[in-house]
Amino acid sequence: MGSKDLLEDFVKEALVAGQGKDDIAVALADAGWSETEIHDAVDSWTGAEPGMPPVPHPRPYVSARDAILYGLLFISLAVLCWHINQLGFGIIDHLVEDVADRTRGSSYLRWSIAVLVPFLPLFLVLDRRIYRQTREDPGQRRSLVRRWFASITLLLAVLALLGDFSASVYAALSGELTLRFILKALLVAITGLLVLGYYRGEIND
Amino acid sequence: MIEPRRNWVIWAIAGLTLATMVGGLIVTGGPGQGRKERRDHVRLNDLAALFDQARCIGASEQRNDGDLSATAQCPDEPRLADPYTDEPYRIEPVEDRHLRLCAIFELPADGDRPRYGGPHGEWDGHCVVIQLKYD
Repeated sequence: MGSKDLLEDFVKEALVAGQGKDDIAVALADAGWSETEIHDAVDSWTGAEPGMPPVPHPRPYVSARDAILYGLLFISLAVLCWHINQLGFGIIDHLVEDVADRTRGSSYLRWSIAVLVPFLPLFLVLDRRIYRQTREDPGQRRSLVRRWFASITLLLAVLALLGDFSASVYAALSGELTLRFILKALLVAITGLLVLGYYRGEIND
Repeated sequence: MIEPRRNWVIWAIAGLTLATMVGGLIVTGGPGQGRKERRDHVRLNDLAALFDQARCIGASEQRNDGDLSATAQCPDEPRLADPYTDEPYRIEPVEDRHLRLCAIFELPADGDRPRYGGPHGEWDGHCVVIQLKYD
């Protein structure tokens, strides 16, 4: 049994025994639990009514179905971001001449277009589906899988933005901050910020 | 994914994706350009095979007369004509140990750089001059 379960069981038994939430919180604080842990544990239950045991508050849950749904959404968003940048880099290379870099191959751009053709509709359909599901059943917003994928995506987006910024500083220091580089760095930043905007607030729901 | 305020993010992601796809199509030239590149790639491979055959014949028979058909020592049978137009590839001896191989490509070369995947030599437009090594 984890410490969280231990704590919640204790709170439940104390409520059944007729103790008030304030008294339970004091007892837990005396035992050395942190304020956050006490708050979470006490808030897990409503106070016991006569003839009714303590009622648990809704909790996060895990489901295999969510893993598929949110996993696909995560992958489709990642694929979109990757290939938006691949294509964008190719377009920038084509539009902006750089005497120091004459690579002009474009065959890889076709692969990016081919990948985006199915993944953009997939992303939009999944997003719409999840939107409808969570609107009809707000309980689905407590999905742990959803929060995990949102957290991983946010982490990757922040890392991408940090890497983008570091690369820009390095390019500036190395004399490589060309117009072509700036446009590419901007594209990466825009993509990263869009992902941050998409998942903003997910973790705190 | 649920608040209306995030709707604009969805549209922005979709818009950026579509914009890059359209831009990519313009840059790559679409299916027609792809087919031209594919056909030119086949022609380059054919010139590379002719280059190998010319070197084999030069090394084994010490000749450079432009005849690259299969021999006993060099049994490969490289394609001697463009498979899409049936136009024969131009094979011309140049000086002593040099051979010019030409194909009619549909796309121009990228600046003064050799065509990627073709035989090594001095490229000039649709032709490449290769050097043969024999005693």
